[in-house]
Formats: sequence, structure tokens, C-alpha cells
Amino acid sequence: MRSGAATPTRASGSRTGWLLLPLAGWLVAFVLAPALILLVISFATRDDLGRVVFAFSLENYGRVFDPVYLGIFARSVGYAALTTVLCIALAYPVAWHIARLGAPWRQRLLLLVMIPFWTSFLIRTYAWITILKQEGLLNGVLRHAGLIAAPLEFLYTPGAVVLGLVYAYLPFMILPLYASAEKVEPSLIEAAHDLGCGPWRTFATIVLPLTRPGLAAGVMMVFVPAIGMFAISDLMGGARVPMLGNVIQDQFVGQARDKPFGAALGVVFLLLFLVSYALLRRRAEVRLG
Amino acid sequence: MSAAVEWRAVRRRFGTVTAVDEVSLVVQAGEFLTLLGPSGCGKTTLLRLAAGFETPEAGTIWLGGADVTHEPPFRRDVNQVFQSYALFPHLTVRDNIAFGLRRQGLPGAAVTARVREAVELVALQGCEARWPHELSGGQRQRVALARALAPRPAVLLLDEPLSALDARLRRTMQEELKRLQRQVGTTFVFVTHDQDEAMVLSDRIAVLQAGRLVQVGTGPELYRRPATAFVAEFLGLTNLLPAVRAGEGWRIDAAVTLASAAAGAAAPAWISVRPERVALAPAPPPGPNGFRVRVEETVFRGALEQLTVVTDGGTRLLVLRAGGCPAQPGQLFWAGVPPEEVVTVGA
Ligand SMILES: Nc1ncnc2c1ncn2[C@@H]1O[C@H](COP(=O)(O)OP(=O)(O)O)[C@@H](O)[C@H]1O
Ligand SMILES: [Mg+2]
Repeated sequence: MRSGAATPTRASGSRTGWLLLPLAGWLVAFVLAPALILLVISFATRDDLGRVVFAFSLENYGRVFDPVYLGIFARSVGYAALTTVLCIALAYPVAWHIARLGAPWRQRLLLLVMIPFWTSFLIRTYAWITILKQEGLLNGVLRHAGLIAAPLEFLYTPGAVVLGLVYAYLPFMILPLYASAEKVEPSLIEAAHDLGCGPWRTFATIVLPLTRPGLAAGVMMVFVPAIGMFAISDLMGGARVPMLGNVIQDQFVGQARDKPFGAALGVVFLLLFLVSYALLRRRAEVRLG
Repeated sequence: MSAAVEWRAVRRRFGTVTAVDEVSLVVQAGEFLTLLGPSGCGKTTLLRLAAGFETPEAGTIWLGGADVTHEPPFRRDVNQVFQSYALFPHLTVRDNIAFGLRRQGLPGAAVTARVREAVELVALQGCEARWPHELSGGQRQRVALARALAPRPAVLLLDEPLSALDARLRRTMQEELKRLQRQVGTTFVFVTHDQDEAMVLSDRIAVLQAGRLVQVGTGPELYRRPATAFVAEFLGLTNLLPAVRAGEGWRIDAAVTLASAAAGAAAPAWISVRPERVALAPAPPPGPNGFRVRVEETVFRGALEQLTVVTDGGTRLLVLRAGGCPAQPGQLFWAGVPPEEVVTVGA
């Protein structure tokens, strides 16, 4: 019975399988091939001019674990984690309330969340710089209000980097959380209140578990890219707070010019991503039974 | 007896719609009271006001003698069975039922015992480890009941809990609900738009119309002495006839004037005569209220025969009688109605 039922499915699968070819081609050309090239280069060395020499070596991976780079690595993970936590704290109420609104307001507010995507990311970051710089908007307002005497240094601080990261990634947390929150029946919240839960307990026992898929997706879309982000730490952190992305960028196009080492950093980063993804997936599956 | 729930002159508006309009109603402790009315008459809103999901614009809500108008739902000793059941999809049957108990801070062993007790009460043994999506509609219904009953609330609110079930299962669940209520002794406030269900289940029925409370009473009281034409028509079949005072009786048409036991009442717009109270015979009946009718149409309804008859004055009456020898259209009869079955009702 089983094989009999499976045969037509397989037959129809092979007939429509060619439709997947563009996707497969895209994945091979832009995901698999670059990753393989990165992997190969990470085991190579370079000559004095910075050119890649294909002589097998594990030296690059040894350097990855140099305390200097481990420090940068830890800082990147720390900033990304802080960014993720702040994004979660800001995005939950926003996503939840948008999901509870009537259809017209829901669409308007979702549009507002997405509008920043219509302008260049770099322009938006420069806008932040004009707000935060010494003679910028924020210092001006604070001074006029008489709150400060001399301008404060907002830009080129770790705080500015985290602010820039939260600003850049907040929509990527709001949207998946919204998609999950929208599916939570309002009567479930009422049932929780009815059975004695106050707002916080309702969040912990009902909202959080039921929006976990959106939360997991949001974390993947914020935490991992935030570790590798280099433009924000460059522009808003100056050169003072280099992150993993800056180091890698430096190896490929900057002054360091050590592509094999940059590749090794990239591979380690990729592995970190895959492992955390697998862990999150595993947890999600365990939860669903 | 003491009041378990009381709505005092409660009003709740949504925009221009007045969902609940100056309703005052007391539910006694241990009572099975049903809020009955057509869709949109404010039953759900009234229930949600008691649960705390809505706040009234005017009036107060009382639970067990305390004013709870401004208490949030999680501080009210009432639990609701939701129309959609609202089972938590990420929790097993056991954890759903234990949910309210855990909030009460009971020790683990007590929670386990109370969950087992609730599971037995609704006959769900063996389903404890299942997920809500693995259950049938009837089973979900039972879980919702067990979950709401397990914390032993003073009052259980049920919003059309049986409306999603098919007719047979519905009948079974009605019997079980009744048994359950007697067994636990909790006050039940039940919502339905089905008058039959209300009759089967309730100690008392409160009939609502367009946000207003029309009449409260036991099933037989409402059926025999409906206060308004709306109540008379909503509970069972009836002949609602416009009538004018004529001497001691009520004139229906040129040929028929009926005497009523409640003849002293102020001039009503209508009288109500239940179709099963009209007797048909070949000869004039002995009492008053005998008149001639001609059979216009007959419908076979199993145990009963439903006839439409016309008086000499041209008034159509519905008559229900035990099936036996079926009547033929055109056949002539004498109809008789006892005066105590001629009920005067307000508009
Ligand atoms: N949240 C709400 N917003 C707007 N109108 C509502 C709301 N809840 C109920 N209503 C309106 O109030 C009236 C009574 O509703 P409801 O209490 O649900 O009636 P029932 O349960 O008897 O069908 C209806 O006209 C309904 O449209
Ligand atoms: Mg309703």
C-alpha cells in the first residue's frame, strides 16, 4: 500500500522537478560556490604582495584563536547579543499591538515599519551621525534645554554602535514577531487572564511560547548579521570599536590584505551561524513535540 | 440562597450599538441560569461583563456580594468556557487543565489530584497526554469544561459551548452538563440562542432582546405565561393573534371571541395560544371557546400532526395534535381552547 501510494507522488515530483532548477542554480552559484572558495582559500597562505598562494596550511585557523581576535570576536558577539536583546524588548510590544489592531491600522503601521527599507542604509546611518555628532541635533537640543553645558560625546562610542545596530535590525525583529503574534487567538489571552494570570504571567506562559517561531526567526535575522556588520561600527564607532566584520573586511579590501586569514575568520563565523541555527531548530522541534 | 452574580442597571455600548441596556439580573448561588436570545442581543457581552473582559459604562457587577466592577478578570472568582474553547495549543490536555490550578499556588501533588478529579468528572481518562489538535470537538469541549471547573470557581460562565457540536453529541453533552452541575453544585451562567437547549438545562431562563432583559423565569413559567409577544414566539411555536376587548373575552375576528382566564389584564395588543392546546373534535366542545374551523393544510411530523386551520372569520391557526388518523384538507372540525390557555401578552 505504501509504495503504491508513493509512486504517483514521485512521478509527479520528477515531472515538476525542473521548476526547481533556477533555485538550485542560484544556491550553487551564490551560496555553495562562494562558501567552498572561502573554505579553500582559508587553508592557503599569501605571499609578500598579499596574493593567495595555494599551499596547504592550518596557520590561519591558529591565528583565529589569537587573544586579540578572540577579544574582537567576543566583543562582536556581545554587541550582537545586546542588540538582539534590545530589539526583542522593543519589538515585542510593537509587534503585539500591531497584531491586535484592526486591518486598516495594521497595514498602515506595518508599512511604517518597512519604510526605512526604501532608502539607502548608508544614508540612514549618516542621518544618525548628524544627530549624534558633537555639533549635532541631540547636543543642540540638550544644550538649549539647559540640560548640559558642554556637548557630550555620543558618536564614536560603543553606545552609538549598539544604537546603530538596533536601529538597523529592529524591523527584522518586528516583522517575524508580528507574523507569529497575528496567529495568536485573542481568546487564548482572555482564557489566561480568566484562569488567574496577570499580564506578565500571560506573556510568559502563553504569548512567549506561541510566538517562539517568530522570535527564533527574528533572532536569526538580527543576531547573526549583527555579528558580521562592519559599516555601522566603521561609521558610528569610528575605528575605536572594531568588530568581527571590520577585521574580515580589512583582510580582503583593507590594509591587512590577508585573504586566507580573512577567509578562515569567515569560515569560523559561518560555522558559528550553522551551529546556532541547528540548536535553535532543535529547540523549536523539541517544543513542538 | 445568596446572590452569586448580580448585574445592577448595567449598560455597555459599542459605538452606536447598545449591546447591554440597563440590565438588572441576579443569579442565585448553585443555580443554572441561561441567558437566551437571538444572535446579537447582548448575551456574550453580559457574560464578558461578569468575567471582567468588558467594563460597563453605567451600573455595577457583583460577585458573591462584592462589587467587582473594576476588578480585572484574573482577580475574579469566575471561569469561562469559551465558545471557541480557547484551549492552549502548546499545552497537553493535562497542562491545560492544570493551568488555573498552578496559578492558585497549590502544591504539585494537589494539582495532580485535582487534575485527575477534573478528568474523571468529564470522562476524559486516557487523553491526559494528548494535544488539543489531536482531540475531537466533543473532547475539546470537555477539556474546556474541566479546565474551567478545576480551580473550583464560584461561578462558571459558558458562552454557547455546545453550538459547534452536531445535534446528537449536543444532546449527550446537554445531559452531561446538567449532571455535572448537580454534582459540583457550582453556579452556572449559560448562554444559548437555542430555546430547546435552554428549556432542557436551566433552573431559570433570562430572555434578552436587543440588549434588554425581557423576562426571567423557569422554563414552564416563560412557556405558559410569556410577558411579551417576543418571548411567546421565541420559546416554542405559538399562535400570536391581534385581539380587541369584547365584553368578557377577546375578539379575534368576526366569528371568534375567546374567553381568557387572565381576562382582568389591561388591554393587550396580542393573545398567544399554543398550537398543542387547541383541541379538534367533530362536535362542539363542552366549555366556552368553541368555534368552527376548516382544515387548510396538514404536515406529518412523526409523533405529531401539524395542521393549519382557518376560522369562519378567516383567521389562520396552527394546531399540533398526536398523530393517529390524519385529517384531510377541507375537513371541518370544532376547535376548543381552555380559557387558561388563552394568554394575553404585551407587544
Ligand atoms: N467588541 C465589540 N465591538 C463592537 N460591537 C460589538 C462588540 N461586541 C459586541 N458588539 C455588538 O454588540 C451587540 C451584542 O453582541 P453580543 O453580546 O456578542 O451578542 P450575542 O452574544 O447575543 O450574539 C451586537 O450588535 C454586536 O455587534
Ligand atoms: Mg454571542
